[in-house]
Amino acid sequence: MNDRNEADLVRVLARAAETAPEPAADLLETVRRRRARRVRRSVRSALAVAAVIAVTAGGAAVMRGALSGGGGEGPVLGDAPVTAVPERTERSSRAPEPVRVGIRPAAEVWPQAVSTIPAKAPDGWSYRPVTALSATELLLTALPSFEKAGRLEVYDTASGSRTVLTDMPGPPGVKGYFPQSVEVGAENIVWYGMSPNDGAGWADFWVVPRSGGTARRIGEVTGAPAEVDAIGVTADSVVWSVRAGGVYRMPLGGGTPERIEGTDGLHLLSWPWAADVGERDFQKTQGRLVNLETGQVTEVRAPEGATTFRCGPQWCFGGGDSEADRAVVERVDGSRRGVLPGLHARGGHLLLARDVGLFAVSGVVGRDERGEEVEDPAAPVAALYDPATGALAGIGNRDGRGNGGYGLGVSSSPSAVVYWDAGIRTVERCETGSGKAVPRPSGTAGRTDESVLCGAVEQGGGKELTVVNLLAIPGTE
Amino acid sequence: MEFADFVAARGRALYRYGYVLTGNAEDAADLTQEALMRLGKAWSRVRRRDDPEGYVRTTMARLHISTWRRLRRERLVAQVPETAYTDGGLDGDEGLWHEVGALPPKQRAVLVLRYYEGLPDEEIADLLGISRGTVRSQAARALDKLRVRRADPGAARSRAEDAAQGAAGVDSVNGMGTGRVR
Repeated sequence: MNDRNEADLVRVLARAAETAPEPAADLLETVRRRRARRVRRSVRSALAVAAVIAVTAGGAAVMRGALSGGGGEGPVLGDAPVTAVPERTERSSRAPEPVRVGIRPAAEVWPQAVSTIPAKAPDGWSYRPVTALSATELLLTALPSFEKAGRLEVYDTASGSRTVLTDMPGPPGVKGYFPQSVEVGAENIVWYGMSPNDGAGWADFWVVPRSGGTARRIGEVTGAPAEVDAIGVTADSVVWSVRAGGVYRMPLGGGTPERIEGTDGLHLLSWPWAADVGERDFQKTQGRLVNLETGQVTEVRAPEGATTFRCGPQWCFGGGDSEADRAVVERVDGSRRGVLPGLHARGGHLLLARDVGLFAVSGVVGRDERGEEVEDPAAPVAALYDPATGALAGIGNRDGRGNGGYGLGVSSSPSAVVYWDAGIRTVERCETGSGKAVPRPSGTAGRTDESVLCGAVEQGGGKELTVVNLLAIPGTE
Repeated sequence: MEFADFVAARGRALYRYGYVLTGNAEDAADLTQEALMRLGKAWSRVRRRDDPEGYVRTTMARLHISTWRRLRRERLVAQVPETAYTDGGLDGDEGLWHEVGALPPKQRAVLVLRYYEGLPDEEIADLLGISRGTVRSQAARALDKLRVRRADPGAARSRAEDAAQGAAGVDSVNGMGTGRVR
């Protein structure tokens, strides 16, 4: 695996192109149909602008108007399928009531688990949630610059107060050092850092008590043990697995790294649990779940057709490559298998803390008379499924035009936190064919500048994060 | 040449390019259709003055890296036949191909433009509307993830600000994103 070079990449891309499966439909015919559909939609977009501005004055109206206003026949990137029209307008233009995806938002399903936190620390450093320490405490990293964690903080969602746990310093003399995944243990919090710039395999490990204090460097490793892919902490050691598989340990007081016997091919899931798949094993289904403390090995088997399959200590989640393949949930022993309608497993991150499943939501609720998909613009971006209670909760920020997203806590093991910035809106930014930026086409219906190419960019946000804390979900505590 | 003739002549090649960009048949068809639709709109101008194929390929690359595409991709109904694509012709390269498919769209686009289209970084930068430094850092980051060794040792320089990629565990809807909340 490690002897790949650029020529391999050239070959693979060329072969993939040669062996691409046949397109399902005739291109020209499809293009004709879509153009017809877009003309129809642009009229409705213009109506939408008028209706929304008439109903609500102020900033929101301007925003909505701007979002819909790009829907003229021009080359607008954000053009979503037919249902991407504000609901109100659907009514005012006497279109049928849109069908809704029946997933209630997390704030309704688990009100005690959803809170908002500031997106930035008082000194301006950006927060990135790591995981939850309790039903009311969130572990956050604060980032002074892009992607570089500088500080660990705890945010108490009950009191709205923050506590600095520790700084995350770099080791002296190491250039381009970046702290990587953080992991929470019973007593301690550990993380590792790398210096990817020098190309050499090198990593170091740090520890701080859960109560906070000065972070202490445990030690550093080079070579094979430095290819860290997951980390954990026991009562007396930092433990980690490597990309090629295999689990190592080093005493918290420092010392020589030791490879734990019998861990070949294993990747840490969440100590003491390990799996025979790592985060890079795309398209590989899990076959084993191992308890490294007891040595207990559980064989698990993916349902037929599943290309993704991940198991936590009690539950497994899986699915196929496309929305057509349904999301599957079952116990580790294969019992209580169920299918989750309207969800799919594309994306690969299925397993969260407490064996909660994370699935993408198919917003498609049907087809129109032309056979084009009809989507629910209010469908959540993704859904959390708690197999313990059967509860399903929608997450993510969606702006009603098919744009949206969410974040996962960055702990090494499956995180207890998902979050999103509800303030972010996606707007179109356009430029001419020569690459010169131009103002977005106005909302005036029918205005078209054919030489303009548009892309979606984000605006707003950066003030608050909406956070779901899985440790606060009833029935899983 | 008329638009329909162009589509008939070049559609298949464009679709293949779309397949390498997106990694699957349904997105490839969607991307190709969308780009062709835009070409159709601009046909009289592009045919007269520009290179239609270049126009479509640029549009496809830009569409591919847009937020819209990343999310739209997640919500498409599969339009390919039920029979699974078996990577028949990849002869043991399936692993690398799948990993390419898991890259964030921009990194993937940069790799495709560099190693499939064979474009120099300057042209990739112009085409995607990003800086040359970003092209290099995106490519380096992608090659890193794929564990592809670079022939040019100088290319390693641009990895500086990409170092925390591993710490950036936040995912987009498709689960493979590099960034913050989208």
